[in-house]
Amino acid sequence: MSLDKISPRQTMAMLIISRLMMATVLFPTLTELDDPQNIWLVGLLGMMVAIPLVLLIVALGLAFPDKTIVQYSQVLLGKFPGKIVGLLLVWYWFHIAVTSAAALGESLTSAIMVETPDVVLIGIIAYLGASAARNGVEVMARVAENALGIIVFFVLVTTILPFDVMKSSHLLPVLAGGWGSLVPSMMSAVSFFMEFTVVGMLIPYVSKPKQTVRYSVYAILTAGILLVFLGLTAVMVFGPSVKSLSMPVFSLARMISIGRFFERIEFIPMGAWIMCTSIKLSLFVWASSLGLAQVLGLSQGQVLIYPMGALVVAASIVFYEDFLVLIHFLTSGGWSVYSLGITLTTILLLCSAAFLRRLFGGGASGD
Amino acid sequence: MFEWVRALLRSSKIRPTGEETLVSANLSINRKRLSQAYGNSGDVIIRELRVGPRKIRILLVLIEGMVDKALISETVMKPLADHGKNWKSPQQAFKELSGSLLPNVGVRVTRTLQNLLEDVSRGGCAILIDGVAEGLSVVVPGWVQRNPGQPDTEPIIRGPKEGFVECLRTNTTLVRRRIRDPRLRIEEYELGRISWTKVAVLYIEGLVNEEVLEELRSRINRIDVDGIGESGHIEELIEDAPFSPFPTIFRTERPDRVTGGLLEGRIAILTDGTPFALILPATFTMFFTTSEDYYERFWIGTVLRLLRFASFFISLVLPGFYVALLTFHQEMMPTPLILSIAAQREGVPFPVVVETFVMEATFELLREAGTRMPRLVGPAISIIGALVLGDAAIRAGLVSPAMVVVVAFTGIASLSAPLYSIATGARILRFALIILGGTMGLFGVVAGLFGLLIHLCSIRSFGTPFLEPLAPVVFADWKDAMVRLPWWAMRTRPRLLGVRDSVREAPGLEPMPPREDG
Amino acid sequence: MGIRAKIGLIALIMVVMLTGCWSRRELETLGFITAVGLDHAREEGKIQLTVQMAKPFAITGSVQTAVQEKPFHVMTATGHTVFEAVRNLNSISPRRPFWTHARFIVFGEDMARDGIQEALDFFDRDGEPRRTSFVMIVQEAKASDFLQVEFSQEPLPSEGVFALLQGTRLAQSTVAAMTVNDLLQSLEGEGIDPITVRVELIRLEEDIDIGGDVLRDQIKAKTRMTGSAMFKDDRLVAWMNKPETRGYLWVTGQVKSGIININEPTVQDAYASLEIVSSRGSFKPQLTRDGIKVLIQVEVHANLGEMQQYIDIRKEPALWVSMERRMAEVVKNEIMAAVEKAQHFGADIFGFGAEIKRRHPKEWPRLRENWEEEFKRLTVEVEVKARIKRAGLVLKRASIRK
Repeated sequence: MSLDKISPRQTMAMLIISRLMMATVLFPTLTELDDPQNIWLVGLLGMMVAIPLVLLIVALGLAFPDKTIVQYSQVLLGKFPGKIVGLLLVWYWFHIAVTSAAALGESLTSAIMVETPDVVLIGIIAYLGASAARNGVEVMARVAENALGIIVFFVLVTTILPFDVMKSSHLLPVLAGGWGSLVPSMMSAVSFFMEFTVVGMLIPYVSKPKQTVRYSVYAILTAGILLVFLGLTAVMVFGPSVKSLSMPVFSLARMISIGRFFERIEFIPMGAWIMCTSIKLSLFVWASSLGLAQVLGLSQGQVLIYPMGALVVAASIVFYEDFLVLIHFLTSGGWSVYSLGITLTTILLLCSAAFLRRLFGGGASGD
Repeated sequence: MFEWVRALLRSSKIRPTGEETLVSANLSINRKRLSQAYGNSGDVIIRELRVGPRKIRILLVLIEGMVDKALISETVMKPLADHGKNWKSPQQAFKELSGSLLPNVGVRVTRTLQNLLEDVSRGGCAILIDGVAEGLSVVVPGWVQRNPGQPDTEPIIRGPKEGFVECLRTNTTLVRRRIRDPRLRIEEYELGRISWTKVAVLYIEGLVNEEVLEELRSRINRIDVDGIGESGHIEELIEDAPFSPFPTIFRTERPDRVTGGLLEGRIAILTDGTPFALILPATFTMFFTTSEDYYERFWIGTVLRLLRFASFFISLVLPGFYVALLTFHQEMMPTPLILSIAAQREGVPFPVVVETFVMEATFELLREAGTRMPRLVGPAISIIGALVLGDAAIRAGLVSPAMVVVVAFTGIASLSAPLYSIATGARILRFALIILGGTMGLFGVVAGLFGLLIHLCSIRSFGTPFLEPLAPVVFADWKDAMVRLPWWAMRTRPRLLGVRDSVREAPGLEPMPPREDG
Repeated sequence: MGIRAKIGLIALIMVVMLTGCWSRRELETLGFITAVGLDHAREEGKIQLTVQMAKPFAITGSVQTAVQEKPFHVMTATGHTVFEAVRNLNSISPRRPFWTHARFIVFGEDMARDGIQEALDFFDRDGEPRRTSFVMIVQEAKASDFLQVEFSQEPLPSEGVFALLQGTRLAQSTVAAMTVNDLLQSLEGEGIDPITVRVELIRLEEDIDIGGDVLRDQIKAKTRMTGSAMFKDDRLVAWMNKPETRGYLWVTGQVKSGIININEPTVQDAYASLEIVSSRGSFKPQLTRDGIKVLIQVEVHANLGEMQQYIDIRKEPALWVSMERRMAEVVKNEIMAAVEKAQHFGADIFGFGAEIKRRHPKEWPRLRENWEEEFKRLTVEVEVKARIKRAGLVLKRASIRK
């Protein structure tokens, strides 16, 4: 049987879209900042921290080019501890899917479809995502590749068109609160980049695995730069009051008014939300299903996808009862600590295991 | 007795290959068997002649209307009359006839009656001679056929005005005349247990991908039906995504499109009895091209193509979008526009979604009526459509004028698709999007479109992803997808699944002014 | 298509069918609010909300009988919060009030003097109203009266007022306008106070509170834009007339066009009108030992638009220079008038404080404590570079030969 193969560029598309999703919906990294005009610093620093971390994951993956991270953690750490780490990652990805779904549901219901129960909206998005994932990683990747252009276009439209209400003076002063004030927001930025651990599941499917290194850096840079653009635009348009917005990008689109005709284009961020979230859900539901299957020793993960999707929908309602719980979790540092805790532990554990094995000639480095 | 006839009738195979029935030396027996096979059908002519001084009995069997009568009398009857007097024995007659006398190309000597029967059914004339246990057949098909004229479904302004006709041989000729390289292969199949329809698979050896070809052969060999009505019948039996609203096999009436497809390394299927040829593998963007794109200047080809994509999108989305905006997102429209539409809708008794659905359905109804009605009642349809349904409905306050504008615009957009089959997909999906838009607003529309994208990404046409080169992105193929670059810039064939010999023209063909120093 | 996908699809269709009633609002059940007014209600502590609702059928006249009717309707409701008043509207309006198309929010003077922050929250929080609506203050009148203002050329008053505002901004630059977004920014920002449109109500009939169902040709009230309303925090503290407003706009670099009249020194009561072509304005706060000094730099280019005196500009280049000098003088006077008024009321409409925060983030926390006093004390230096670029189609005025 030949594995489905995806190109490195498609991998990049999926990663970029996943990273953009939370920012286009809630943008916790921005609203967490005391001085939102420093968002570009946060973005740049976040990228600088994220790149080496993500490269570590990719490098580990390249040592085992035909194994997923869940599989080789069992090789590196031994059967049982490896399974624990695998489960931890599966839980993490699952939780990302749940949080994303909840963020989308809450935002749609508070911004656009006030009376619609969010479980319906989440359900539809999750179904779309799961059906893409059910068709295999190849279809998922193709959808993402196709949607990337549209999403980037939407993001650029949202960042460029409100030019007449932008005030560049809002960008000053730089770093009034000192570097320390950036730390929580930067942690948040890095913690969202840690979603890229999912690349550990994708590497066995990439047609040219070596290029994943390059393309995952591209992904971080592209996503990071787009986020900085979005953030800067939001700051220039809303000034200090951007902190008080729950959905800065959506509010941004509402400000667009060109020639009194091209205005009121909320459907642009909404379209981006739907596409980003579906693709992100497809990726993470796929990854957690496959991971779970590999932890449990099942032959394939495809059968778990629809149940996993249903579980995401249910959990997004149960975990986040209301908007407040969600936004508090995302912007008060809770998410950052949680996400960085899981991923850094995993990465360090795996890397040191790999290092020790190499040191003592354990021959674990694939072949 | 006549086991083989019964075998033929219950045969589960396409061809009557029951126990073979040999030609008997006794002409009467042969005659009896043959006439029994056709069951005294009125159009079958079985004629016995006595030729020459020895009165050699010769039996001619043919089907009236299937053979070229003039050719028969010229090439069969005349030799019989001229040379019959010299014949001393049936054997000699047979030898001369099969050897030299018949000036036709397709002469077959056979020992079985089945073969004779087949040839007769294909427009041949079977010749049997008393005392010889062998038969001759001459295939001189000559039936009524129309001339290759401008195809009705794909009219163009610049380009060849020939279209395929219902006769397979004429059609293969039309292609062969455009590609004279002997590497053009025409594989023929006979499909249909009862209909015995001839089907030709055309490809260019060396360009085509062998895997795709092998896959196609196996799919064609799998076909086991009683009859092939049209190429659409074959299409449905061999396509990859039978449930998709979009076709994954391209169809055309134009020989030049087939030629173009073959040169790109695709495979064409011609079917006897229909002017519609199939081309595969087909991609989504192919359905938005016309052959004229390649003949007119590339700018106009590019612009028109983009326009077609836009109109496809409009015909798919516009009514759903309109419904969503008017029922859910009144905030997204400019104030003067929404107030004007609101003013028009005062007193309209139906919700927007019902109004839109009914009006779109009406439009489809009118269109269907316009396609199927006899030409003579055409004006009546226009009067009813334009006057009664459009004007009167507005005056009666049943629909709003804005609605009519939307329906009309959608209609025009949907008619501008160059290929009926892809527009049909949009026509069906449009109604789904209206319902989605009417129940969940833009969320529904966007989710629906996204679902459509997933679907399009998941289907393939003979191994080639349907959305290629859009997904997976193959930038090299964008030269001839959404846009068309000039010919000298399109140096390679599309990267379909493993097309071989990808370079199609010499480098540096771009016209340039002559060198100064040259 | 697997069986699971089919089940999923059926479930999806069911869901879609069932959602039919959520979030849906048919167009003809909506009342499009085109303008909003806010006042104190007669009852203590309540807010009076007045909305102007479009009557679509009277706009285009598709229903023949309604053409003579005014295409809008004015309604009033009260409540302790704006949101309560909004919901109270539902009990008197058969059409559900729909907010997104509101062009502007107008406050009565009384309300504005007492503070507008509380009333603004609804327009920020709720999904329907837009941050792009303009905020206006009506002078010496109630907002509810202002919403009865009409124009004979424009069927919808809200569009008329909006056009008036744009026209005044573009042709005269004598009105400083803020949208809800701008207003919220300057309320939230440190060291900056809002300034927005002042509108005047011109009553043509004494009792204008009739309601909407009157004929089109009976215009009860008109309006005029005559400057701006200066705020200290969220309270209206003073009115600024046209020159003062333009003084503010020079400093913030918002002057787009307009007329500057200069006196001819040689002839009594003769003026020259200069048309502003472009302007650039900026200010730079400097923290010196003597206190804060703000350097305001304005560059203005103008064309000669009209001249009441006979001068051949080819022959008198010195006059050209003197005209430029006098133009600069006018601009400077306008700026000083604006600054003085702002300092008098302690309202930092220019955002001097915000600029200090940007340029001297270290010093700002110290100054912020007592910014109002600091602002009143600071000195201003104005530099105006005025250039007259072109003189129109003639070189000298047509003269009367005697």
